[in-house]
Amino acid sequence: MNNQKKFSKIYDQYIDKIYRFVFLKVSSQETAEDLCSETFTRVWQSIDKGTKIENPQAFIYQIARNLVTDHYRQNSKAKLVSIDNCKEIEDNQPNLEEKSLLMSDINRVKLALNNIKPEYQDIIICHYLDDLSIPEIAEIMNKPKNSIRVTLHRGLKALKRELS
Amino acid sequence: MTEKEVIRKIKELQQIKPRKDWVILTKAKILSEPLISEKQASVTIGERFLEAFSIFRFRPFLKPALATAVCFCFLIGVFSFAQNALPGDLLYSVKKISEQAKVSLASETEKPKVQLELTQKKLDELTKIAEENRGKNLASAVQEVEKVMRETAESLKKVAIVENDGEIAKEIKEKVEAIEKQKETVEEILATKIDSEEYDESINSYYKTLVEREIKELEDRALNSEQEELLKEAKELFDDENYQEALAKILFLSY
Repeated sequence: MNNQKKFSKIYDQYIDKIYRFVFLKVSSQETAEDLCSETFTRVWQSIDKGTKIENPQAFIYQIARNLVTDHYRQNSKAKLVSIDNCKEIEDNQPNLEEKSLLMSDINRVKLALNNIKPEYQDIIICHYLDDLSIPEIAEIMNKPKNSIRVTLHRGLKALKRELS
Repeated sequence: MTEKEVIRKIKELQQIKPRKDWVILTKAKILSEPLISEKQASVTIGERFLEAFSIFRFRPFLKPALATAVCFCFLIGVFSFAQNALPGDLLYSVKKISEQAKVSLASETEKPKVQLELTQKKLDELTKIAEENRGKNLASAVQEVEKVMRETAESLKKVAIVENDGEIAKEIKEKVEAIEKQKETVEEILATKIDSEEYDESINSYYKTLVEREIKELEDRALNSEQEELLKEAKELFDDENYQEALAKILFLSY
């Protein structure tokens, strides 16, 4: 498989997940797109350089996490989520009333997610949204599995508090 | 709100997806960017050279540093290249500067040794010129040898007065003997004599002073019968004005 095909496969497989992961953390479509684009540019450069990527999933998530961290370091001010940022949600709802309800529900969860610790956010997004197993998250976060389990449990509790 | 409800709500966020046009465009954009390997290959040597110096374009205060570095490199290059020059060559004066610097920097004790090494070097140059039949350089080379020999003679006169170290005397004696052989070889090739009168006198005087002093010192020392015999032989050689041989006996006896 040549490098372009290799990259193409990885890109198609992870673009949605990585975008969602980044978007939920930065809460801005433009920033999420920029960071996502940078993540995959780095993946492409690594493939081009011939770097052996044993676990593409962990590799991409690690790049994305680092970029988000760098982004927050550069812009120390926390950003609030606005309704305008929800236009990327696919318009697949049959009626306007349902759509409006769902969007407000989604925004509530998003805001709640933004209010909990970044560590909880990462694990909750990876586990419940991106369907990653505990060992997979442990590899991405470079932490023991037990620690991930405990953090996930605490994260859910924190999110529950925020939502109630 | 139960934990299950929270999870269900989280799962609703799965509807967040990137814009389809952005996904396609980004992929195309990334893939259309020149590869790092291609970029590296396309950079020519000339571009790399210019790139290396581009820093000076943006930082004018570095220009004097660049000028100094270039001059320094140029001087190093000239001095290195001049080391192969022979008497009569254009760069020979540059070579002489470095040789003179070496002599000037040597201590009074080391100076005769350095001068003798220089004499050997000059004889080597002369041998090379003679062997390569470079008539144009021959006169300068002979003059150079004679000049250095005179300078060596001056140094030797001083060393006999200020220094009486046996090890240095031994080294000087070895070098003098080597020079003598080398000189004879060159004279054979050239079928002419090198004017070394002053040098020979100086060597002789150096040996004489040295042997005289050593004999006096040895006379005050307790010697065994073998050493007594050697000292006696040295004295006889000294009386016959064969100072070189006398020195050889003394050095054998003492060191």
